[in-house]
Amino acid sequence: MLRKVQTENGMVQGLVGKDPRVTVFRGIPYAKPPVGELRWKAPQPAEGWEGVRKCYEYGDMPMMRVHPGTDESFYKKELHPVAAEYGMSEDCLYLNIFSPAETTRDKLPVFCYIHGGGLQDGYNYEVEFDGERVARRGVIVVMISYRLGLFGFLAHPEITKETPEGEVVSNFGMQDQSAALHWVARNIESFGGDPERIVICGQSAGAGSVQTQLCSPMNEGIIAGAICQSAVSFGFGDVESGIGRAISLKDAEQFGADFFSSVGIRDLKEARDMDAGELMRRLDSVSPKDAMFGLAFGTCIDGKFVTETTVSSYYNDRLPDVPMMVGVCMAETQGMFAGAGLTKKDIEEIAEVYGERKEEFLKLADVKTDEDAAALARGDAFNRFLGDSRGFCELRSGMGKKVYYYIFDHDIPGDDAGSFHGSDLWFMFDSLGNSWRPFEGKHYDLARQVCSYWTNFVKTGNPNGCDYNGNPLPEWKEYRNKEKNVMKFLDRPTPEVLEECPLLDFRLEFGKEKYLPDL
Amino acid sequence: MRNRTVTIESGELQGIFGWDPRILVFKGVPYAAPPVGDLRWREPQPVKSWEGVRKADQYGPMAVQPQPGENPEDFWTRELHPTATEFEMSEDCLYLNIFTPARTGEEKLPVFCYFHGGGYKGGYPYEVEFDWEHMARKGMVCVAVTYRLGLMGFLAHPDLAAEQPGSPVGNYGVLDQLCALKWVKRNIAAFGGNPDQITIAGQSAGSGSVQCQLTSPMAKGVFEGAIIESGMTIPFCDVEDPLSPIPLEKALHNGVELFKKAGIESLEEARKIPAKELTSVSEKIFGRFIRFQPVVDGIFLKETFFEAMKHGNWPDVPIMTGYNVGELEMFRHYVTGLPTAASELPEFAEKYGADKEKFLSLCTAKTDEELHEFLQGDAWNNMKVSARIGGEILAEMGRKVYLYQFDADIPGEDHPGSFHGAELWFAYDSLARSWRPFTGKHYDLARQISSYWANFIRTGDPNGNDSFGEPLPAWSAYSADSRRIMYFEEGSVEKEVVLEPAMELRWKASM
Repeated sequence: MLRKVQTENGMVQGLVGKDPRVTVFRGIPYAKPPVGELRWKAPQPAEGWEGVRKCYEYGDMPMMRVHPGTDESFYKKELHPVAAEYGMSEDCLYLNIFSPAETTRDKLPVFCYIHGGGLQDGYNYEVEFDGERVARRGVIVVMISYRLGLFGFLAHPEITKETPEGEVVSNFGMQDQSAALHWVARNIESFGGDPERIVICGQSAGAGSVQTQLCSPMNEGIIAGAICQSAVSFGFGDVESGIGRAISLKDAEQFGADFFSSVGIRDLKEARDMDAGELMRRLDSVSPKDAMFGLAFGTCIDGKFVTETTVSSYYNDRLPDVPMMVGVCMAETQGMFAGAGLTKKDIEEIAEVYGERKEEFLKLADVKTDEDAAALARGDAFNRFLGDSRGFCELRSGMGKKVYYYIFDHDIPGDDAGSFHGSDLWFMFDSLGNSWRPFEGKHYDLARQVCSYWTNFVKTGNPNGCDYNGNPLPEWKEYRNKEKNVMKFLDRPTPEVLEECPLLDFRLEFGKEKYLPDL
Repeated sequence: MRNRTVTIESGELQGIFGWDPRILVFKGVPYAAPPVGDLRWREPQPVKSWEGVRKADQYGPMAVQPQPGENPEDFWTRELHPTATEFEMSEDCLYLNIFTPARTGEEKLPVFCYFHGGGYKGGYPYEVEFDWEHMARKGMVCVAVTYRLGLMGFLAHPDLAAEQPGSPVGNYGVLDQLCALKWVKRNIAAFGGNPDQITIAGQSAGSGSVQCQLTSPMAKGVFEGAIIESGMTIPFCDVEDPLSPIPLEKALHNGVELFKKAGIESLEEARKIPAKELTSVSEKIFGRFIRFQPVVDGIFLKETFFEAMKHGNWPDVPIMTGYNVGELEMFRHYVTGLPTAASELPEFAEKYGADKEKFLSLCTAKTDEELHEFLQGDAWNNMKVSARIGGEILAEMGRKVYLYQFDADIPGEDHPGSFHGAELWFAYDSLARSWRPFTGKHYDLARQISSYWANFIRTGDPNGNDSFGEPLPAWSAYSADSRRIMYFEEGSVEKEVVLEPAMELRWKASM
């Protein structure tokens, strides 16, 4: 087994995995600690070291407004059972790598995972992120960390001004992810990986990140496939409902400047000199108490790393032609992450967006009551998860690109949360044993299959093949305009074909007209 | 346990987060001085203290043994030792690994101390089939121990006896285990464990080890329960018992023979030969047979397991024991004194003394074929009959004893049946690490079995709920009034058995 690996920065030694056929490297630095003067600056190359660096300990978690695991929330129990014990600091740019390689000549496909948490929360060693089972299937797993929230996504006129020409003025968290991907491309061969076969995957804001990385001109040529779990934030170009929609640099700068003044910070220098914890306390003091992520900082269109909204990239097909897999968890589509739903009045307002085609829209929507509107918000045409994912699949497959669509709706034991936002992670990592939930044999059977679909996709760009035990998996067909295939993960993988959705087609047409006026 | 650091008698120790971060893992904790140089073939000595914080983030070396895992196609390599060739091996091996779900050090959780198997000459506590994190998740502190093996752990020699008068002879490996147990008793509270609630367990030679601790007068009062997996062995006729201690003369003879055949002139010279070299010499001389194993030295062990049981020298602690159906044939071979021809029957029947006629009325074989068929009965199956007779005797002594028979369907293109060690994947909830294509039903069974184990470790009684809080099928203690055995097959089902006349006869005769 390849326990010791030469990286560009020095030699690293990994731990023998819980499964000894896997080597686990915890806390490999991929960039210089973004502290002091490097706060709110692009990630810089990691410094080298002499001798062997024992990668047995995780890096600190990125700064978050609330230390995970210190409140009694649903996600504490689910993902952060002992996170209160983890360190949290700005010095957080570390990777965890799970490798089954025996030699540097193995050339195994690489699975880079970007965690979720609204770009404000999360870390790359949450309890569900046990990469060993994926690795056992012959894939190298890289768990990426990145700066979050205020530290990762502040834009400010002063930062813009100080940034040298040609460099990126914000989106530090996104730049971190990209720096990690480039580090992987340069170094993964030494871990037994194939730099030509890097598939990126993320869930929730991680899925948003995957899209940003995919669409960024700064990642050209290093991504061989992409998986967006819960979900693609497509946005049809009509309603501003997508998650993680990038705002303009100007708006982001204003947001940053407003934040400084709201917490009594005079200028960038003062902000840089301030203790990270103190900054978080001040952020907390102005955060709306009812907002899950408090006062949140997100991606902006900086003009260099992010050059346009993802929806514009999608319609214009300005992303690499790589196979994609996208999908949702059924319960999340109706839950708190899905937004407030729609009323009859909302629909009437939305109708105005379509201008001349307003009547056509209203006819298709056929909303007579608030209940009708609510039903629309639950269905494929307008649901933030279902609609965006399916709309994206329609668009991509219409362009002749390969895209696989899934809906995860397995029964989740332990409480009545159902197939909640993130429930798929236990299955796709095949890490059920780490959960508090009373998972039984049938869940293990499904997890074995789901994880194998994922790893097959990483290996070949196609999820089909055999499961871990060597048994053929039910066929998962590509989504096509003419045959709207979806893989439903119910008690077992169940392929289905979706019915036509004229209203979805209508929205898609509208987007095309908007973004591709020449057609 | 702030910052994963604990203070124990020899210094400060820092563990690492387990793969499940709810568990803190302390690897490679020294429990005795390295048994090297002059300490080779001596009782384990106390650990030297250290300054500062010692990082407990790596397993200690495995004990010196024939290299496991060399042939990738070998059954045991695939099963237990997929990456063993890269693990360090050294005479300096007296380390244990601790897995604890505790956080404050005030928890007083039950403690589980495990001795691996491997014929007293192989194995290590971090083999792939043990998932101590999963066990720790069930609310206990797990301790897995490395001990000296083969001739490094069990050499007996007249020169050793002369050099260390009054000390145990040849039992260094099991003395290591005892030393580890006493270390646990002194130190485990710091890891959130209850030093007065220790259950010991082992499989194969590990079960022999457990029985050594059960029957050693030196190990009185250091544990509160015991699990004996594959299993009890009760000598009868001329049974060549692979697990039970051998007589001192025989052990001394083996030692002398080794020295002679290897051309070793003195103990001094023997202590200078590198342990690996000595081990491979011993392998060449004795082949795959176990020659170095616990000894009835009159100090650590005064009698065999069965004699101790017969004489009531058996502590009053709950026992759980059983066997795997698929291993029975393998252990049947250790019964060497049985008649091979019908003509030998009258002479053989003499062993039954007053019950001679009874025996002959049971065994009416006229031909060799009929005799062969008769001897296929359970009463002649060493591992099975031992569990049953052991159960009878312990129950009669008023001890609590729980019996199981494991025969789960084990998948894999090699169709191995419920082989020797197969239950470990279930008992220690480690299916995910096996190469075998286990499916959901196996996970369900593993949850039950590992929960029975966990309950036993917690309370001395396997009954209760599984790890999800669902009630487990009842498992009655074995007794003459209610001969019940837990069958692990598709699920867990208790079945009533009868004491067959032939079995009863063997029992009576062996008493």
